[in-house]
Amino acid sequence: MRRYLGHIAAAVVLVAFLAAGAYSFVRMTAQFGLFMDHFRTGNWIATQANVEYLRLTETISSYQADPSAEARSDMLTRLDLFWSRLPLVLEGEEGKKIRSLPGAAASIQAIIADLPQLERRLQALSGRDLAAYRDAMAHADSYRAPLRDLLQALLAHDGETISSTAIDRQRGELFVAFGFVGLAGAALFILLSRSLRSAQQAYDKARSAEANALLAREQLEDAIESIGEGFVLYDKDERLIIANSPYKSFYPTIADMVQPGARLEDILRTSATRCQYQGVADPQAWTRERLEQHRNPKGSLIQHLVDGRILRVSDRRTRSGGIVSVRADITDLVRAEELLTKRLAAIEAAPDGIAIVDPSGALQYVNRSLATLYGEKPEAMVGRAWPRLFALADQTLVPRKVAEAIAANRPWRSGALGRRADGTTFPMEVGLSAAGDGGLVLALRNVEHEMALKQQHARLEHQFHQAQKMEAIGRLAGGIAHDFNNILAAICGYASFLAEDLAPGTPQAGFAANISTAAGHAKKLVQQILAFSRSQDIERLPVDPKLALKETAEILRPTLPPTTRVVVRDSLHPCMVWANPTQISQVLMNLCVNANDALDGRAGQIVLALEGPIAPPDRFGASTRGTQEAFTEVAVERVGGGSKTHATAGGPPRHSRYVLLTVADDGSGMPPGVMERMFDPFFTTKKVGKGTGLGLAAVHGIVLSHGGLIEAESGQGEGTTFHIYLPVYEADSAEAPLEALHGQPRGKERVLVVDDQEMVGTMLATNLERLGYDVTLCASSEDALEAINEAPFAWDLLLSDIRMPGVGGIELARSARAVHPNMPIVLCSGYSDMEAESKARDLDVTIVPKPVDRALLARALREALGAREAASKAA
Amino acid sequence: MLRSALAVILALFLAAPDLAVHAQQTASAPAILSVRRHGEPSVEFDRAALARLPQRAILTSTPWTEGTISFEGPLLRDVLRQAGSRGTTITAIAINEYKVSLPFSDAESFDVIVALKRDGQYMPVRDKGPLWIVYPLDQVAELRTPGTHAKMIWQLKAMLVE
Ligand SMILES: Nc1ncnc2c1ncn2[C@@H]1O[C@H](COP(=O)(O)OP(=O)(O)O)[C@@H](O)[C@H]1O
Ligand SMILES: [Mg+2]
Repeated sequence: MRRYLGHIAAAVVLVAFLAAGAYSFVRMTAQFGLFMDHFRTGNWIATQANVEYLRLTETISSYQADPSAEARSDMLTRLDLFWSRLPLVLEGEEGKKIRSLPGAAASIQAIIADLPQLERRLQALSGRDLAAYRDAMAHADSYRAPLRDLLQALLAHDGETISSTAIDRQRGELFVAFGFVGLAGAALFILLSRSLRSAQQAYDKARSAEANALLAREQLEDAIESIGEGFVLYDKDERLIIANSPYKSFYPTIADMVQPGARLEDILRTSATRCQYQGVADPQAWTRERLEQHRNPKGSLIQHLVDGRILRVSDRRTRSGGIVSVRADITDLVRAEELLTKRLAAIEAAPDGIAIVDPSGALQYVNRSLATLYGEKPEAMVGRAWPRLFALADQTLVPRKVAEAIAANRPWRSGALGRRADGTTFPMEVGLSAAGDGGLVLALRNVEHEMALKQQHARLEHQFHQAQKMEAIGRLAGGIAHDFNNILAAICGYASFLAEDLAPGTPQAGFAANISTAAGHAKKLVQQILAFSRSQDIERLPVDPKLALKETAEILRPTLPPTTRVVVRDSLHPCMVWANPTQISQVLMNLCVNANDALDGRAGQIVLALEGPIAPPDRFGASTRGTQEAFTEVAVERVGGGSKTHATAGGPPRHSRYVLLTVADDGSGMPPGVMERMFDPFFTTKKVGKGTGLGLAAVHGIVLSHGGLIEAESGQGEGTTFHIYLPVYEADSAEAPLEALHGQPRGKERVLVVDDQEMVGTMLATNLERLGYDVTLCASSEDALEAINEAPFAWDLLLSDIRMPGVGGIELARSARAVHPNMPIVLCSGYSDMEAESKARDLDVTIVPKPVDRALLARALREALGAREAASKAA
Repeated sequence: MLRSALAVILALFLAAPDLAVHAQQTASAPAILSVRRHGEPSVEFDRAALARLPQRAILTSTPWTEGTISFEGPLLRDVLRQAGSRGTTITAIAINEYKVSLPFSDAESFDVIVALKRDGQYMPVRDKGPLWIVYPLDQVAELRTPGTHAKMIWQLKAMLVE
């Protein structure tokens, strides 16, 4: 029974306890909600302070990572927000509970008091001052512990508050209830308290460990989030644990998939099918392959995303068997590399030579053009000291100049002489500038070709000026000579009349002869001028050069001193040249006179040679036919390495075969300076009175107007050789050479002579009268026309000048033909007037050149009259 | 009651920073309040705009302050009317992205103000400013609940009406 008594007592105690407990439990529960609100709001304030604190520290980190104005204002706003949370602890109903915690208010007050200092620090943060950031963070960190302690103290305090506030008010009731069971309950509590306490301790421990783990994880997540690389972590079952936002931003198409717990294989497959990457042909195969790479990571691989970005992916196994994978955006890096490669290719392909010199002065890189220029392989040139690119003389000078320029902070640019390994040199343009590393960048260009072009250009320009000068002088001289010629014609004419009429042997006859001789010289001079100015009308005939040479030699011999030997060599194969015989002998005469002058009274010889026909020498340029204008300029150059100079005029050749006429002497010869100018009109090295400077000018004019070429070779004290090339006359039917003139044909016909210049007209009239003609003279074409109109058939022939003021000769001839269609007409042309001449030919008139040669005129008259006779006979 | 307190804490942690508030700047002064009806452009208020509305003072104590305080500012319903927004729910958003929902009817049923001043002074962010939704706690007994306390959002910056 006693035994049961204890059990019964225990049961009673237990029942009473349970009843009292149940009663108080119901009471407590009724109050619990109210209490909880109360307590939790207190906790809430502390939690908010903690959260705002964490956000503040986060914005400080963000500002350090990206010091933008936006991040800065964000940070300062966060400071304000954190700040605003603290006074809640110190005032108001809700903060009451925290205030009741010992030391809580003081620690919050301490933080508030310290906040202005933190604010100053944060405001002072700028740009990249890492130390300042560290200090600010450390400063902010000093709040961490008090804030956390506050939160923990609050959580621990909750239970205490329950008993101290609510239970206080129910104490009476509860004491009554507990009164019944005081001891029994105490006994039961003693039994249970032990296990309860240990359970509580274990619970608290777990709770704080969990809180620490949570904090650690939060910090880790923050850290992972703040790195710029994409980061993803899978556990050993290949399920995603965490991925940061850069990772998600790299793969926008699978953003919905990237969640904790997602399977690696699913993520891979989805990204392959959603066309995340470039060049994925078979998504299945790709997924398998990529999965394999994930499982057996081997360093890094490159991914090309469809949006153009390029990622470097590094997979690694973690200790726990998971996979960590990091992605870096290397798009800019790859693009920069590509650009660099392109630039290198451009440098390699550049036509200029480019080299990079290392700080020690050795060639580090040489492009293809440079190596080609030096005739070497680029590899072979690398390592060579850069001054060795220059000619020996420049090898010390140039580096000094370059050093000076670089010291003055500017590039060095200059012309210099380059030198190849085989010792050949070439002119080049070089630029050297400092490379950042203390080395040099060198660019050079071969200007050999450019310089040659420049020289050629200068020469052509010189020749052009020369030609222009010749033409100007020619025109001037030609114009004067023409008028002068008319006067001379009159002098010659009258002098010959005098010589005929005066009794031979009288002094007067001698004077007349002297006048004739002097006028003859003057006429020759004018002939020379007209020849070089080419303003003379020349009649051309097929001429036998052999004959011309023989005749000239015969005329020449008696005029030369006995000390001069004339040697004639004729190896010419018989042929003709289309030429004016007078001019051909003029050429020969001029050359021979010069040759004789060059002997200067010493004994010597003149060789006259005739050869051919031959093809034109190459030095006159490529042979062309017809179209091209003949060169009239003179080209002079040194022969070989010797002291002789070589000059050519004329060309390029327009004919295939030439007769070569050579006049060579062993006289004084010419220096190059004289060679250059010898063809200039009025250029002479001889005494006044002896030289006129017209001889070679005339030769030049005549030969070139005949389509010929001239070549001269001479050196001081080495004699002179002139080669004259005249084109062979390739007639379909070779015309007989003009027979030598003999005996002047006479006539009795009525001739109407028209010339505006009275002197010339009278001379012509007298001349014709002497030949037996019946002459009437008119001083103008108007007079003449009147005479013809009055009695058209009173005249057998009309002889008129072409150039006259008012109605010209051509016009007159046309009018005359209008009234007398068959009237023979002879026109005198004194000046090169191609247009007038061609018109005259249309009219079928005979043309004689001025100054009028007596014999020629006589013949021309007879021919014209004869043709008329033939025509009338035929009619 | 427990639940509403927990909801507050939860909302605090889940606050999403992506609520788009499109600025429709009309005055040169910076806007301090943006009111937007769902799917419509937002209406911005600067301090002067709020001060131009009829002002109302509430003398009340709060769980976060000592003693009785005079709050001053336009009536919430005037602000909403000015913005032309009607609806059933107002989501009020604080500078720290804290959000709380108020029934639209609160604005009509009670003289709730958007307080600009506390004891005659504008409130800085540090002192729960610049705007604070204040219910007349001391005047209306039924408002003296933690639920109302939760709706008294401070550091208000935007309202979304739905
Ligand atoms: N055969 C020659 N030997 C040396 N010098 C010559 C010879 N032919 C021409 N010259 C030079 O060329 C110059 C020009 O010759 P040219 O035109 O005939 O004029 P000129 O004989 O009146 O001086 C001469 O003055 C002379 O210096
Ligand atoms: Mg001469």
